[in-house]
Amino acid sequence: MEKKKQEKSLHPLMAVYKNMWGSNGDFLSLQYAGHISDFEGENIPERENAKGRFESVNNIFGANIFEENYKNHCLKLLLQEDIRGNNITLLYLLLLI
Amino acid sequence: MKSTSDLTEGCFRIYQSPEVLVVKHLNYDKLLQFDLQNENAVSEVTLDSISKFILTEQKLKPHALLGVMKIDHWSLLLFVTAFEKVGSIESKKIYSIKEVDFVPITSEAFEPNSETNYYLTGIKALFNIGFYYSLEYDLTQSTQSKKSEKPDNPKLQESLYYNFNYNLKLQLIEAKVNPIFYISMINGYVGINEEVDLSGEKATLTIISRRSRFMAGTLFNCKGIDEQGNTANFVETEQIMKIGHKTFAFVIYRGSPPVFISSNKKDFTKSFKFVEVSNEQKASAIKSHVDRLTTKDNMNIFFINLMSDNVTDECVLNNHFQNLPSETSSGKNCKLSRFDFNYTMEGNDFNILHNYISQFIKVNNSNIQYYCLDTKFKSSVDQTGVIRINCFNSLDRTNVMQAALVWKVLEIQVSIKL
Repeated sequence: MEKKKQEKSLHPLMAVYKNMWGSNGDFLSLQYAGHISDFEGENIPERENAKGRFESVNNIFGANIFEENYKNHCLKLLLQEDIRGNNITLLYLLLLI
Repeated sequence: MKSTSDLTEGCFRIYQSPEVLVVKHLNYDKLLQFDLQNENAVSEVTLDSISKFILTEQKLKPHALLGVMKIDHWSLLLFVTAFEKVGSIESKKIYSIKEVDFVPITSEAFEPNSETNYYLTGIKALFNIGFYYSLEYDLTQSTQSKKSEKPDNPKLQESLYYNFNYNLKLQLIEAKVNPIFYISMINGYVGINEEVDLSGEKATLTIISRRSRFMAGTLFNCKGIDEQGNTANFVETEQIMKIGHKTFAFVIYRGSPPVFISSNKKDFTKSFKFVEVSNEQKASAIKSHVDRLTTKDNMNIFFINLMSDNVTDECVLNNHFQNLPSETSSGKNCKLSRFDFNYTMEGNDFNILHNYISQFIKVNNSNIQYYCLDTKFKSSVDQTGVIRINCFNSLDRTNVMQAALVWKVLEIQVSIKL
């Protein structure tokens, strides 16, 4: 009830604003970290707790490490950066195993 | 209403003979020719000059050319084959790229090995999200930056951080082909809402996030700062609010902590390790990073560090922030503020965040200012300070802080309490 009262008193622009900034966060998170933002902001406290769990899982297990290396190399090719010495052939062979 | 290009043909036509590959733009009378017998040398030619070749038209009719990609020993043209309209800025259409395709520049049969195919597939998959372009609007620069005088040399002009296909079109730029043949693309986010109601007046809200093409790698592969002063996950976010004859804009930055670190690939339980560099290299990199943020319009710079002293890794990094200079090379302010987001926001009391932001803006208002252009009265005010926010990965906490801060800026810009 309290939450609904708060939402009612918000400026109408706020819903649009939050949606756009939320999408901004999701897109940038997807591009850099490979997952959407796990934090939407106000009035969603349960997502705050989930955020911390997500980050720690990623760090401990190095989740999707091969997929991330693959994506990283594709980015470097798109940017035409020097990729010598990255041993990408070895990475490719490991993925085939 | 969004429209897709799935069923429409683009304005490019591609023709090939054993000697040349020719690209035609339907709105231009000259052609782009790649000489297949002369190391794919590119030039603009007239229709008469290709009449001697027996050309076969390719089925692909793409919409835009991103440039020339070199992979293995192949050179490939990278074309946009499907897009979606995001909206309009200043009546100029902005598109999101949905699909791309490659056209090999070769007289032999295009038979890449499985590894090359594997990466070509991956590059195509990258375009599923977050790549944008416009034929009329320069997405690579902020509204205020576009006012500055540009050097005549297009190479210097284009060496901006956010032109994601700059290296792809370098060969075309150096060959001085007409820019009608290629586009400039950004990676990040573009959101446009053209039906915002602001106290009965119609307004357009636009958010453009531009990822830097330097240190643009993924989280595990790219952290911290490099010797040239580029930081990982460096993004310029611009919010534009257009109401009637007034345009308000504000630019804010995010990036990895400017410390020499990398992922700890031998021990996944540690989120990073320090990279050994000399104190001189550290100072030089920080100075380059700070100067680059302010050089364009000689701005004051404000760092806001959201990392926590109660998280071991972050506490260690916080100590390295002491290397920031107190002023830029041009004598502008360079200040660091701390806001321990995790600790301060533990009770989810967002009033604390709002109070911090209100105080921050109150103290630094005169050193930041906010861009405004009034086309009716032909006046403008420039933004004179930039804010750079970081947490550890500069994603979630940074986005919340940026959104809250820019909201406060918006209230000041439109002079009403939103």
